[in-house]
Amino acid sequence: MLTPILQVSHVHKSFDGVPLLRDVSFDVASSEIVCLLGPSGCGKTTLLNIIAGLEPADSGQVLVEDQDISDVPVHRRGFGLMFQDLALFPHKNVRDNVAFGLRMAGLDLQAIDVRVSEVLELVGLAGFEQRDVNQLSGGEQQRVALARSLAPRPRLLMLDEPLTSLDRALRERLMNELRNILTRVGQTAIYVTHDQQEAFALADRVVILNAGRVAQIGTPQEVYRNPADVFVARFLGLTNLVSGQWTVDGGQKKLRTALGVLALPEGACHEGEVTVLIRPDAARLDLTGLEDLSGLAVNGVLAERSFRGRHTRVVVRANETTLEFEMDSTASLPPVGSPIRLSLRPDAVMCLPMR
Amino acid sequence: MVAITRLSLAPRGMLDLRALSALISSSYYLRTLWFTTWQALASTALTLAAGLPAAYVFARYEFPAKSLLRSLTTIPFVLPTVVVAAAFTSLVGPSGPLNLALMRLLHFDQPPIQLLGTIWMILLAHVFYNYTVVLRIVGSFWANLDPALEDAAAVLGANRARRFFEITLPLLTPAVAAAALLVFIFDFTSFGVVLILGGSQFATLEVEIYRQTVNLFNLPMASALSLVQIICTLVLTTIYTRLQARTARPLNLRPQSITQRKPTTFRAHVLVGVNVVCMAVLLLTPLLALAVRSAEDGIQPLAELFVNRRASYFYVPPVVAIRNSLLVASLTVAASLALGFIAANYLARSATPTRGRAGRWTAILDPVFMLPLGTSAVTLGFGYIIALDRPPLDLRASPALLPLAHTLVAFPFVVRSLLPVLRGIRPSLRRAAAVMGASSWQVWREVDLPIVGRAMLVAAAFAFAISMGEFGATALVARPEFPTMPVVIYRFLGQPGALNYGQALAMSTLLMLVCAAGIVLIERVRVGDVGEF
Repeated sequence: MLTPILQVSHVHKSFDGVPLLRDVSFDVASSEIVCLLGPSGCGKTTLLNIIAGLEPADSGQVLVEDQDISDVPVHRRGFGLMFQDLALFPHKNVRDNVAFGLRMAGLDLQAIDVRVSEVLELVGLAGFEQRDVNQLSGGEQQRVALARSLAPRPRLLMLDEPLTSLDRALRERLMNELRNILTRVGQTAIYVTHDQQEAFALADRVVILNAGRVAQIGTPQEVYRNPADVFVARFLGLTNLVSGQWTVDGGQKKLRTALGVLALPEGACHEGEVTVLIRPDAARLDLTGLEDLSGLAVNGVLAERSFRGRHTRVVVRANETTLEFEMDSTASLPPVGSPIRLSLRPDAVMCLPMR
Repeated sequence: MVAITRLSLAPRGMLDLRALSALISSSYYLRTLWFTTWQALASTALTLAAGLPAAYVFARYEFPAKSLLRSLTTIPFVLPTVVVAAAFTSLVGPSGPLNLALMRLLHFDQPPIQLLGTIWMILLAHVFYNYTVVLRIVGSFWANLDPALEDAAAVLGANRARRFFEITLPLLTPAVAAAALLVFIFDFTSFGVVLILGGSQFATLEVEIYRQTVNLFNLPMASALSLVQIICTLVLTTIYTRLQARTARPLNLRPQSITQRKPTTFRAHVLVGVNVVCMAVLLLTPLLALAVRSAEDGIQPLAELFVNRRASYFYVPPVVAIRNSLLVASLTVAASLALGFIAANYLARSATPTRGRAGRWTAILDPVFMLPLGTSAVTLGFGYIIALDRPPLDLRASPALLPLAHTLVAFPFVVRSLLPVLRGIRPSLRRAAAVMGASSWQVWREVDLPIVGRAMLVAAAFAFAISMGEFGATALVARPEFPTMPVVIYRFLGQPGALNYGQALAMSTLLMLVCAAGIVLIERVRVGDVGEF
């Protein structure tokens, strides 16, 4: 991996005795986009504020190029921060908003104007200089905020859920644009979000936070393929989780679950109690019953089905357990309420540690 | 007020500009106008300087006894000027505790602090009075200002000073302007403070109106002066409304639970501490001095209040004034609430920009409803005297004149207290009730009234306190045999002798206690910081 620009190491923070961040450590490499991903209230924004210098940490360090910056005040850190509610200055027009950081940096007027039109161009708002920020649409305000935080070329740009307030279509468009803009200028960035779609679309690496602790760090593919625990799996939308236990039956080890015995290869799971994750794309309709031999099958009742285009969402109830699958829409499914038998792809079934 | 205009322009039924031209050509009146203006400007500047740091501390920090402190700062504002004057006299007067202590300590022959009768006394009293206006109006606005804006500026490299001057101050402008306007108008129309604390060499327009009316009985001149005063305040209010419209920005106002935190750094602790101490020194010591002095004199002055000794002068025992004041205050509360509720309802309902015509009426009526605030009490009292002086409405001799005058003074406060709440009721609530089968009267009873109820209480307490303390209009309007508490205090202060002075203090303390009870009541029922005037 490249040398880290920013290192967050063993940061603790509590509010009124309630721990909010516990031993949080991660680092960000130059030109890398790291997403802090977690449910609301898991301490993401607080972590950003600590890195920005808006709040002190109780303990732990924030290092920039191996220098501890804990004593550097906010306005000398040279970071950028795009606020959740944008925090555009309502009494300044677009140009003056974008120019603010440049003026603080002491640039001369000409250089400021050049840079302002440059970043406005970059975010697709060329010619918007004199507009009143209060009259802009939500998406335009978003871009102004981005331009403002990019203008002084911060060593590190932090974005705090910048897209949450937008409607879905706009969000998806800006998501892709944002990634383009950030990678085009090689901007090192930390992006905070609770939306895994956003994180996956934007991030080089994802840091998943759970109740103030780092639950997993990895590329989007890594965390989606191999969620570290039940929390991560659930949070990423992988909800087919079945608890099970290894038993010895006739000299042979078997994984006994609510769905019956699942014939997973012996090395695939650790001993004792486990949670089995079945991916939504794991199921195929088994009309023949022949694949029974593999032992990786679910017998249940088709509880719901809804057509979603390329796939059909299927809910199967088997022994009090509800499983959701995305199945090929070409499969000829029985009517709702009929028994159904599904075979599972072995590579789409895995074991997770309980905690 | 129409009557004032008529009398000043045409005292004998025809146009006669003599009084007005006498006013303009006389250097004495111009000097009065000039003095009125500059002392108001100086007072306003000082009040802002004292109030803004406190507003910051109240807006951004949580600390113990904060709401109690806020209640206490309100007391001076509703105290009658007479009591304020008495409080300052007892604190820094020649025989006040401050001077006595300094004389004993430093062996001076004469009291070292001789503020009485100086401009400094007037300025100090004005700051004392209006501090809470700045604290409340700016403080509550500041408390809801999104701290993220300052944070954003900090991240972009702005230091503390630049954050304040480039971000916070411009955004605070509407609130600061509103507070400054109110303070300026209060100072511009200042009456009791100047009359009692300033002594005879200082006169504001308001004092001059009183002198012309009561001492010289030169009604046309008094009218002309009133007219000048009304015009001045009207011009100011208009400028202010224009300014307000221009500086108002859509702000993302945040609840105070987000914007406020406990002081954690050393700097924050010092800031909060210094402000609290300043507040206590400035606001509470005069009040305490008053209470202490009146207690020192023992029970005699208090007991004397129940006796009608100088029957020829007072007509009634002074303690009757308490009954009078309470009676007038109750009537004022009832009348001003009824009138204010109707007015506020009208303003609130027609304020939607889509209704062009009604909207324009609102734009005109809103400042007009505020006019009594700017016109000052003496002018109002005077207006009543000359307007209601012939049948069928000859009320001059009637005690009903007093509650009427007080109602007019209290009216703007009632409207200001009710309006934000009424405007805040979402129309969908009323529609929802209507859809479910409520008649318009039921909608009003089931939706509006419960929501406005608390604001009504606040308005009631305001009206009560204002009526209890009102002196300017009362001094002109009250019948000699029907004195209110402030009038009695003024009479005591105007008489020589230690007993009279002691009685004035005793009466002031009683009045202060009654007012304080009213204010504590206001704070009890206050809903958030919504009911700002």
